[in-house]
Amino acid sequence: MDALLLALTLMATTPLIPAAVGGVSWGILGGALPGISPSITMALVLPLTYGMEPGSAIVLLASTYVGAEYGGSIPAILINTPGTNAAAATVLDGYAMQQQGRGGEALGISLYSGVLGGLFGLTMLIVLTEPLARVALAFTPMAYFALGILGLSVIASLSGKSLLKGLAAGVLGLMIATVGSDPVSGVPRFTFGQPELLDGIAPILIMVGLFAVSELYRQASATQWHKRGDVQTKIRFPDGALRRRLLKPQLLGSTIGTLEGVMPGAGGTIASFMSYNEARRWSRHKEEFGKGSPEGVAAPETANNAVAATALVPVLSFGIPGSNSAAILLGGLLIHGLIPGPRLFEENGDIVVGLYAGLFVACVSLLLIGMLILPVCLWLVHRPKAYLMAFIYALIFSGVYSINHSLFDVGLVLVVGVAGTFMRLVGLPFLPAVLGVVLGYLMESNYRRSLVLSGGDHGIFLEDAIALGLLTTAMLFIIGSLAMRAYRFIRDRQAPAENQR
Amino acid sequence: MTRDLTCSAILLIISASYYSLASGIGRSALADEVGPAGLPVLYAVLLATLALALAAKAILRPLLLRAAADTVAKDAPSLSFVLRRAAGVFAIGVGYLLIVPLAGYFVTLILVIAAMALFYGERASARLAATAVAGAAVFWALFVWLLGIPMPGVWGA
Repeated sequence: MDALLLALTLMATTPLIPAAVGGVSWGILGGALPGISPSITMALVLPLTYGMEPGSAIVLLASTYVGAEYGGSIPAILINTPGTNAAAATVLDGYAMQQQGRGGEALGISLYSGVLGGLFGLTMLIVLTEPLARVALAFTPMAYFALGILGLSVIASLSGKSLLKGLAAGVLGLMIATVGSDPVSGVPRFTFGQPELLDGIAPILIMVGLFAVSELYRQASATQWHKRGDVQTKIRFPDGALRRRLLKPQLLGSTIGTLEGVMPGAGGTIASFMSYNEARRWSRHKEEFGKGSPEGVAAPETANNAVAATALVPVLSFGIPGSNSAAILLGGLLIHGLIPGPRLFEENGDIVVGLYAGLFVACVSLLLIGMLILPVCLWLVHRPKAYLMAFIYALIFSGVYSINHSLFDVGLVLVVGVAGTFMRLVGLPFLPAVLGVVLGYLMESNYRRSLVLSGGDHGIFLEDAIALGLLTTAMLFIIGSLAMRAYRFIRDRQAPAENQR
Repeated sequence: MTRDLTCSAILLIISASYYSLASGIGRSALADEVGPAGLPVLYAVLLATLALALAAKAILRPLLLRAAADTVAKDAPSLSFVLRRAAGVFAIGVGYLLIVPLAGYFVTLILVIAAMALFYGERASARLAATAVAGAAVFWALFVWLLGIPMPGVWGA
């Protein structure tokens, strides 16, 4: 009760509310621009926080992060371009809904689920910071490797019609992840003498190339622009029946997002892919996934917004930044003389309570700001095709250049787009490749660190309890997906035979 | 079947090229037991195995199941048309890369927007020119003025 009163007092006496609203607005803008990552968006407001009082400064940064994580889903749904890595899983069903003229419904679901995920994550942050922090500390390199395997196990169900092609696409993604300096010895690999490749290829470049650029190439030969009379130009929030249907994927997304959020380095991408996979596994409408399923939008959106809140656990508890965004938030804390750790909660309790209150305001304002700006975004994507494609290309050039201020990156994205075109032609799915790119480095670096620790003994992966648990879960996922595929194959073979009788 | 065989052939070429490059990765004194080439070689072998399995499946499946051949929609554009149009968009992108260091971000963006709109069927008109200039101005305001990104060439920063 005291904390609640303190929160209300802080809201009334400090510029906490304007900081939260301003941060969310700025974050949505940054997240919605492909190439402007949440960390860049936060870094751009960091200088503004120098002159602010500490509580509002931290709220501004954290709210920017919340807004940016949500903003990534807007271009994912509307123009097939994930604004952030975590929004990649939203592309599949979100863009399919947009193509069916249901973009307003997809945006409504993503906003509604994002706010719910954010509020759930915030509640977990407030209530479970201490036990969740212990989970974060218990993660060893073996556990991180196992987490990567668990993430990759999703490929079996993201492969579409052909498991072999899905696996091949996943391996292609893992190959791309090996470009750059070797994680242990620093030896350059597959860099062809290009210094721009020494740091590896950012996953967002692969996503923009595969999804957005290859879509532009494809649209160039579309004989006509499908204009429908019933295209939604307004945001449509889910009605009672749909809300009930979305409850299960949202619960899955919230739980997975909360757990992934506390693990430094795991991030929202794994959470959103795993939530998508689990939502599909437990759905009564599995056949709709990949073709415009509302559950396929709700699960990843809930997960990556839950991550945005619970990712603060390791930062506040131990000062461990699990991502670039968390590192900038940590920088914000240190600038104002706030040292993360258990003493932060004792000595600067008002700052922590203010942060929680600010995040609550951020979640609520996410809903309000979303309702204001999403109709404008929806209107924009229903402009004449020629102009829309031209502006998307210009946005890609501008956003991609912004990542590293590099024209090499822009050229790389164009080439990845060509690769994406050929992948479309031969039926190789994109999502397993993206998953491979995102997880490749995490897996390889932790696999090899584990072997260094054990002197080359693979038994170390079975001795670590968390790693063993995650590997077992991955194995169960893979067996389950294969069994389901075998069942569908047999059923589909029997159905025509029965029809012929 | 043709599509799967083509896919298999492309994957085999990729795995062979990747294997060849992976075999040439230098070994450092700091290297661990697996080494910098360890996983890349494994990935190459894995991809080649999957490619061969895909080829085998493409050849055997029609024989075993008498499955229908890949169906192509009647109104689908021809492959050469698809590739030519895609090459056109790619060429506009390459044009941007070549021109932007000389003409700068703002001017090149005007050219890209106009070229893309024309390529997608818009007629050359004052409206198109005005839209291209206005669009480039919006992007400049957003990225250069608001976000402070130093864009390439003159009028960039």
